[in-house]
Amino acid sequence: MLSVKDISRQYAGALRPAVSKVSLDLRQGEILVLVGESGSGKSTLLRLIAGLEAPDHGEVFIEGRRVADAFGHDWVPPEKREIGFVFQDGALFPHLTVAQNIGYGLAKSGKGSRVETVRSMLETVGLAGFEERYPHQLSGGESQRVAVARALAPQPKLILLDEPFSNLDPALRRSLRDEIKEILLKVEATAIMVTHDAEDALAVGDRIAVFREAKIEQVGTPSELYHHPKNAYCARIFGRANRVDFPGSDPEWVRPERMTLLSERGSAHDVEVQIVQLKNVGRHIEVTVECLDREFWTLFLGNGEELERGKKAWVRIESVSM
Amino acid sequence: MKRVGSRVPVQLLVISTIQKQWRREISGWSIFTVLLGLAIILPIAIVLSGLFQEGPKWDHLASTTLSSYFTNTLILIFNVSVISIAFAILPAWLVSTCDFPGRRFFEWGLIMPLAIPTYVAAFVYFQVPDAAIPLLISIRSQFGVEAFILAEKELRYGVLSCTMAGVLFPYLYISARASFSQQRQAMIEASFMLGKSSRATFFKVALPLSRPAIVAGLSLILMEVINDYGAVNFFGVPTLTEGIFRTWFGLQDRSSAVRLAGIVVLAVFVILALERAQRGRARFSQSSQMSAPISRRKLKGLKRVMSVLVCLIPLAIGLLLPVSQLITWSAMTYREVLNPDFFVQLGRSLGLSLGAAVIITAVATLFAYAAKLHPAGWLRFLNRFSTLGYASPGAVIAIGVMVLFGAIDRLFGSAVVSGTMLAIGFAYLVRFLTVAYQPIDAGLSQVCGRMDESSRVLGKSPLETLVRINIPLIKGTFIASAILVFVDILKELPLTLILRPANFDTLATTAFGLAKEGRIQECAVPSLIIVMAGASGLAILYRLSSFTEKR
Repeated sequence: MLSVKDISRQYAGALRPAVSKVSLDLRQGEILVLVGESGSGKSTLLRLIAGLEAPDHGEVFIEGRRVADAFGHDWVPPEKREIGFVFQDGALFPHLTVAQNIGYGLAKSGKGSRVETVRSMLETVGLAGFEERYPHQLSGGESQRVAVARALAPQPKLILLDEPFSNLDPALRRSLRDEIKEILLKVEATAIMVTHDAEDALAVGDRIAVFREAKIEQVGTPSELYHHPKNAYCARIFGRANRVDFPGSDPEWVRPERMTLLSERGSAHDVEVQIVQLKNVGRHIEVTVECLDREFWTLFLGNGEELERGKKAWVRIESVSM
Repeated sequence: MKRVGSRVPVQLLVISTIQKQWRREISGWSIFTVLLGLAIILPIAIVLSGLFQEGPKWDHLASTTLSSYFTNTLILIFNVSVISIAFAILPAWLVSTCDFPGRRFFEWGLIMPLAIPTYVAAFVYFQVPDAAIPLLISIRSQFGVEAFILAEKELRYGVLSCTMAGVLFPYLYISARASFSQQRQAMIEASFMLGKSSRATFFKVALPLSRPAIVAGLSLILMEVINDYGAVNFFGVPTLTEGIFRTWFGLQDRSSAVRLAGIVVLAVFVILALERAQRGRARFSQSSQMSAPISRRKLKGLKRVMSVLVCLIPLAIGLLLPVSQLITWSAMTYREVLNPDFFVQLGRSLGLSLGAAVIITAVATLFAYAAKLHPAGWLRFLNRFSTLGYASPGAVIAIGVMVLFGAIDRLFGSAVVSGTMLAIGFAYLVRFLTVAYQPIDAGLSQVCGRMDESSRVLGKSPLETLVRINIPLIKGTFIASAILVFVDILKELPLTLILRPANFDTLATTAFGLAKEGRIQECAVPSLIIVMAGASGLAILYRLSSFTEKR
């Protein structure tokens, strides 16, 4: 469906490229989430795919057709790429009504089908009856849903969402995120979403790509990324992780919930540790232990009444089958 | 996997990068910008190239009147500058730092003299040397002919200088006031705390800080003085611009006229460059830090009365007297002047101004949007370059367009474009494009880029995006720009005099023609219409500027 090959982009006057030699592929109907810190280049990649930026190097293919390369030979301008784009702030046209905004990208078809499309799009995003409102009469969440409807209305081949929830408060953010995921599934959209929030990424993505300093660190399913992060950076993006050095293999990162603390050695694989710190954070007790190779691990325990600082204990690591 | 980049040598990569950049920069928009930019620069370039050509009567000109053209221009520039400083600086200081009766009225009222073109003011004030004839005659009988000639000349030059300064000083007033009211309270207070009087504070702190703004305002006045044809012609003070007319039409020596125009445009560019240079250095001394604006001191007693007078005198000379005189004359003559012929002429004049204004505004919009589409520096540079048209005097542009269109005619073998509406319309475009371009460019840059990108991604071309998104969003600016151009064209005189088609008159040329025939009272009606149009243009400018300040 979409194929990005070895693409780079450096802004004029910037010291480093915003995107450096990134490749990635997307299947029909797949939702990919690009997650990374702000300034890591993920938005630039989205803009390169949409044609809002031109690459310095590399190529972009949509449905096998080359739409961008470094030399501008096959350059397809954004208006000809049939891509939907949802901006961070919605970017609704302030002088047009909701209906006119959604209808803006529709081809000059018969008026009847146009009205019908707008109505069904509004229904899809749960805003039936909002046709005649103006953008300034909408709440943040409503604006974003209209923006999604506007992007989906012309039935694009691909829809790109650039931090669509980041301007919303956390509670709204979670519900809108789930709603938009539902909508994307319902219309069977192929989509790429950019976010800096790991929870968004895990909740929405069929696959996740971790972006760091203009490059993709790791791509995989949410569970691959959560349980088998490639390195410390990828591990920490999705929460606490403990580094475990199994003899004879690369270090692995293990989530706290996969570790249990035993007061006695149960099997030969259990690791002997010493309790260094106990912290009651309400929901659970956070236990920091030091294992013999001087690595510190964090565990979460339901209750820890019998635990004591300085006491010896054993940690059992549950394996995850993929 | 094929890796193209890694095998290509560095030199080739550099070339390909340049190639690629160019490919992306070439579009209908950038081609339009380049062609338009060249078209606008062409008449000015033609005039400048005239510097290197010598007409048949150049030697004659150089040995006779040329030096007086120069000295007259310099004398006028000097006089008008000095009088403008006297008229503008103190009121600007009082209005922005003190409180006295009528302050708010004067604040914007002192801008209004700009509504009166210099030639209209000249019609009114020509009465002064006229009225002084008995006095001059008595001088002749007492001191002889030479004293008479000297007194008469001094009187004319003096009154003309006052007249021009009376309607041009607001340029200086506006920039000085803006600068004074931006100055930081802390700086003024520091001066008071150091034991300086308010007079010393004005001269030692406020005035030096405002120097860049004052020089900028003065340079605008200088350019207007150089641009003027109507007033100097009416008062019989031949300046360089008058010299262009005399050489072209009187001496029939076109090459020498072009050379003279080249000298004028060169002088204007030198002024412009000097002004830029002095502003460039001063930029760093201005603090961008937000701080409390100057709080106004309440004036008491004699100072109160003096402040009102200081503001009232320039306002009376520049606005109240001329306008009341025009109204009086209009009341006397409107019955004869407002005949069907006049209305036909009025309609044609308004039609020309309106049509040209709409086209120029549309072109300016395309021009500005091209720069928005291609953020690379070179298009912006070209855009800025084309602002030179507004700096060049109207007569100079008219000469450039005459020569250019004459050359086009020669290609066709007959006069197909000279003396047509096309010629005068093109000249207006060259001169007034900037008037519309500046506000529209500012307006377009306030429409955030994501609006454009949203529209593009939704399948709309740049042109459609401009028409359906950008223009509706800056509708107010768009209309205001068109009105500004309209007003400027309506009152334009020298360019129109040279390029108007045969038997075609605008309000400005009608008024000027009547005045030249000595039917001075009859010219009041068209003049008053021009003044009213000018006043509405100023009101729009005032609103546009306060609008951008609020943002």
